[in-house]
Amino acid sequence: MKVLTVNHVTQRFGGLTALSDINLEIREHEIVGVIGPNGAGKSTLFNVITGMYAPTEGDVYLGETCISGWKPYEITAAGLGRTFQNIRLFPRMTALENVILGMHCRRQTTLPQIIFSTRRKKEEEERCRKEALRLLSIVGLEGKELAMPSSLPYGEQRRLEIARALATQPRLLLLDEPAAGMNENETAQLLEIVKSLKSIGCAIVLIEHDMKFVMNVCERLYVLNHGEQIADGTPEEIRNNPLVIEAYLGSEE
Amino acid sequence: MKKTSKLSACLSGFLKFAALHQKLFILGALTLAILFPFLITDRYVMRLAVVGFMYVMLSLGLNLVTGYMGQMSFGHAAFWGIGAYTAALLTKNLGLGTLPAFLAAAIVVGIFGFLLGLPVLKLKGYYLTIVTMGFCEIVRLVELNWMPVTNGPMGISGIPKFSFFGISFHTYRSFYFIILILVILTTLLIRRLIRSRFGLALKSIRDDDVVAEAMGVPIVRYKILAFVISSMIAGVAGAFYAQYITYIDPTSFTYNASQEMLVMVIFGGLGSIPGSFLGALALTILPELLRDLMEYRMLIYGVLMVVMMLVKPDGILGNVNFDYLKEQAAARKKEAVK
Repeated sequence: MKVLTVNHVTQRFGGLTALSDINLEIREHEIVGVIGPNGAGKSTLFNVITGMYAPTEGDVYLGETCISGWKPYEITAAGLGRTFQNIRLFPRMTALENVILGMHCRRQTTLPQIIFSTRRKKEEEERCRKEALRLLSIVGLEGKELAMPSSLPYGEQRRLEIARALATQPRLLLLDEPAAGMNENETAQLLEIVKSLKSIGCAIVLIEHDMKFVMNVCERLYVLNHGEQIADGTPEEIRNNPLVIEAYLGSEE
Repeated sequence: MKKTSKLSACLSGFLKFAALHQKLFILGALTLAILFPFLITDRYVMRLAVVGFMYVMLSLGLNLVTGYMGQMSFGHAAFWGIGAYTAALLTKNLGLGTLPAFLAAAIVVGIFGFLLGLPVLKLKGYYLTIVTMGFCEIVRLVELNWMPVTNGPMGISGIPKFSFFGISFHTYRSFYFIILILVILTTLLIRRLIRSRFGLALKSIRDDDVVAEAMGVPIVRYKILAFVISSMIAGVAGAFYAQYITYIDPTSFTYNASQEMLVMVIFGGLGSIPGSFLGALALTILPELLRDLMEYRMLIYGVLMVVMMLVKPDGILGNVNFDYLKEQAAARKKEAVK
C-alpha cells in the first residue's frame, strides 16, 4: 500500500525552477530519507507536500486521494503530520497544550456543546489530556507537560514537536531536519524514538543532513540536487552512487 | 532595582495564592458585587459601577479577538454603536421588550461582524487594524447622515428603559443587576470558549498562524467565528447602553471609544478574564478620581500608559494563566510528598 505518491511534481517561482519532475513513492511503515546539498529543494518539496505551496505541475497523492491544491489544515486532517526545520512550537502554550492542539482535527465537539459545557465535551477534554500525556511519554517527555517550550532544552523541544505532529494521528509523518543542532546524546535518543514510531504504524519521511543518522534509520533514500532527483535506493546504493558523490563533493576535474 | 524585584515577587506570590483559591476569590467578588448596590446608595457611584461593568463586558468580548487571538480590532465601537441603534429603534418604534432587543442587536451586529470579518480577517497585523478603523469611521458617518433612520447628529432620544415581559425597570439598582447578569453570562461564555478546543485554536493562531494551519486548524473559519462572537457581545452591550442612557448620538461610538476599549484590554491584561475586569473597572474609575486635577488628568493618564507599556507590555495580568499556576503548584506538592 502506498501512503504517499509524488507524481512528476515541478515547482517554479517566477523564473526559478525549485523542483523539476520529482517522483516519490512511500509505502506503509517505511522510513525514507530525502537528502541533498543546501538549496537542493528538499524543504520546497516538503512545503509542496504539506500544502504550503500548490505545485506548478504534477500531483501529490496521500493514499489514493489527490491532495495538490488542498489547504494545509485539510491535508493534516487527511493524515499528514509534520515538524519544522527551525522549531516552531507555540511559545505561549504549555507542552501539554501544544500536543492537545495537534489533536484539533480529530476532535468533534461543536460550538454549542462547548458553550453549554456538555458531558461529551468534558469527556473529550479528558480523553485528549490522557492521550497527550501518553504521546509525551512516547517521546520521553513525561513530567514535562506543564513546561513552557522555551524552558525546555533544544533536544526536548524537537521531541515535543514530534509529539505534536503525532497528535494529528498521521499516516505519514514528515520530519524536517529532526537532528539539526543536536549533540550526539540527543541524536541517539532521537534515533530510538524515530525507530519506535515504526511500531505505531505511520510511515516517516525525513530530511536530514546528519549522514550517520540518515544511514542508520532510513530504509530508502531519495537524493535531490538543484531541484532534480538524481538518485534513489538503499543507503548502501546511495553511498556508492557516483552522481551523489559528485553532488556532495564536486567532480574530480 | 531591588525594589521592583520585591514588588514582582510580591505580585507573583499573590497570583499563586489567588490561583490556589480561585473559587474563594470568585465567590468573594460575586458576593461583593451583589451586596454593592445595597451598601452604596450614592447615585454617582452607582452610575459609575453600571458604566464600569458595561466596559467590562466590552473588554471581555474584545479580549477574545485581541488577547486570545492576537488581532487588533479598532472596530468594536462601531459594533457597540450598531447594537445601540438597533435596540433603540426597535424598542422605541416597535415597542419591543428588552430581551428581544438584546437578541436582535446580537443578530444584527453578528451579521455585520461576519460581513466585515469575511474579507478582512485574511489580513493580519497593521492591515487589519487599519481596515477596522475605517469600518468604525464609515459606521459613524452613516449614523451621522442617515437622517430618516438615525436622526443624524440630533441622535435618538426618549428610548424606553428596560422592560421584561411588560414590567419596566427604572431604578439604578435594577440597571446594575441587569448589567451584572450580562457580565456574568459573558464571563461564563468566554471562560468556556477559551477552555475548549476553540480557545486552544485561537491561542495557536495568536502564537503562530502558519503552524496552526499546518497542525489542522482552519484558521480563517476560527478567526471569523471569534470575530462574530466578539462583535455580538459588543452589540448586546450597545443594546444595554441605549436602554440605560435613553439617548444616543453618533459621538459616543467613534474611533476614540474603540481605542478606549483596547487600552482597557491591554492595560488589564491580554488574554486574561480577570484582566478585563481589572482594566475596565480601573480605567473607568481612575479618570473620575483624577477629575479634580482637571487639565492634568489626561497627562497623568498618558504617563501611566507609557510606564505601563515599558514595565509590563502584556498588561497587569497579561497571560497569567491561573489554571496553569494551580496545576504547577499541585505538581510541586505531589513531588514534595514523594
